[in-house]
Amino acid sequence: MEAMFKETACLSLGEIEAYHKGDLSGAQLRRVEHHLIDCALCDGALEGFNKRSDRVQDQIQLRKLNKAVRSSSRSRPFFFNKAVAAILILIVATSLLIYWQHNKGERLFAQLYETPVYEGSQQRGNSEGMRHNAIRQKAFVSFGQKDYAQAADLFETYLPEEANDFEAIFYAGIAQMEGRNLEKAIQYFQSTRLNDEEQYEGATWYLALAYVRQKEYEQAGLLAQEIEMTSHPIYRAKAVALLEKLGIKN
Amino acid sequence: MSLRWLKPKKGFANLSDEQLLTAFQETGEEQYFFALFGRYTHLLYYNCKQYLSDEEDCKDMVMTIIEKAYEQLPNIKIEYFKSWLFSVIRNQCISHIRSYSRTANQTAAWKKHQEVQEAVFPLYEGMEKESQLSSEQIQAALQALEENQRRCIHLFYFENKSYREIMTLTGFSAKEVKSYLQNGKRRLKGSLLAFQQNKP
Repeated sequence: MEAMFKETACLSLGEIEAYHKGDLSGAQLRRVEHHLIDCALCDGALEGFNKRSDRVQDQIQLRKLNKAVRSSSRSRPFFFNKAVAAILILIVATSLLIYWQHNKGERLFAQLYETPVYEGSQQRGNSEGMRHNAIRQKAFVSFGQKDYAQAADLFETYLPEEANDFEAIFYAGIAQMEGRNLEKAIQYFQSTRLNDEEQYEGATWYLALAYVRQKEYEQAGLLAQEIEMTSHPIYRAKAVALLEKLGIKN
Repeated sequence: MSLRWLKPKKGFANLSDEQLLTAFQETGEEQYFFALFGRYTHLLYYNCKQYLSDEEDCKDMVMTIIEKAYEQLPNIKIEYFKSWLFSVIRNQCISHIRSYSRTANQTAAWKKHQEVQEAVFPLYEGMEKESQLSSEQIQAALQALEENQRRCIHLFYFENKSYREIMTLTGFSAKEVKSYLQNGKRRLKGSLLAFQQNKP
């Protein structure tokens, strides 16, 4: 008698189909019929199932429904879990901040850097240096063609024999900086600014930019302040702009 | 600090409808709602099929019912989910039929259906202490049934006969068998509950 009022699970689609076809027997049939007495929902579904006319259409529509319900049940919790959402926002914000800081050097560099134009100079060297001069010329031709990798290679061949050609050393530094070989570029700019008075402001400016690109802002600031004290009209203005961007000068 | 939110919320199979419903009402998390309705998609669809002939209409009606349920559920107290769901389906389908002035045949269909189903729920409630009743009280409750109801109840529950076998033995139609069983069980439950309440 107790079992008579015991609640049982609703019918699956398979059970409804099997019952409709008369395929059930024994305990399965008993379970279905027992449940149908109590469950208006399943009884109603069976009535509806008996009225169906297009089995394929039913299956299509049911598949659509199941898909809609399943996809909702999977995706919604993710979007609606506020704690997870807050953590994700925090992670994204932190990542953006780190990315922004990380790229500060590149951003500043891109805003301030201009490739100097080589306008040509007298050939150097003596008769022994004919071969070197040819390399030098090729290096500057490549530089003029913006083939900085080729120019850097040629300068590297040329400079060991011509350690006092500071014009070449300066452009070798530019070629290296274009190729992001900053250590070498810094070395060349240092050498130029200390040894070639004519190129002092230019070499110092590009040295400051090399430090900016290396994210060594303090060093870059000191160099910019050094340029600010000169009277060079172009580089002085550039140095002031850099100091402002670094927050050293308002 | 509670880290409950870190736990994956899977395995709703062990939760009852009412537990899923409560979880949805308390947390507002849709996963509980869709886990609950995922159990009844096919039943919703074929219940709608009683009223609507077009398959696409049935699917749309199910979606409408789910949307309405989603809006209503957070704000209402439901004791027995299936009973509530059944009435929502019925009301929604009837409202749809009325608004589109469907055929008289369809209207007759739901009226008939309404008569049969209206009194069915909830049959389980309040029967936890049924085992405490004496066999005399159970016999008395059975005797209080109408003859046809008692006959069908006896054949189905005490002789384990199927609907078809009862039809053969009694000559009743399938609908009559079902009706006698449903109404008989309902009356039986009423009598048994009365015995329980009058118990010293």
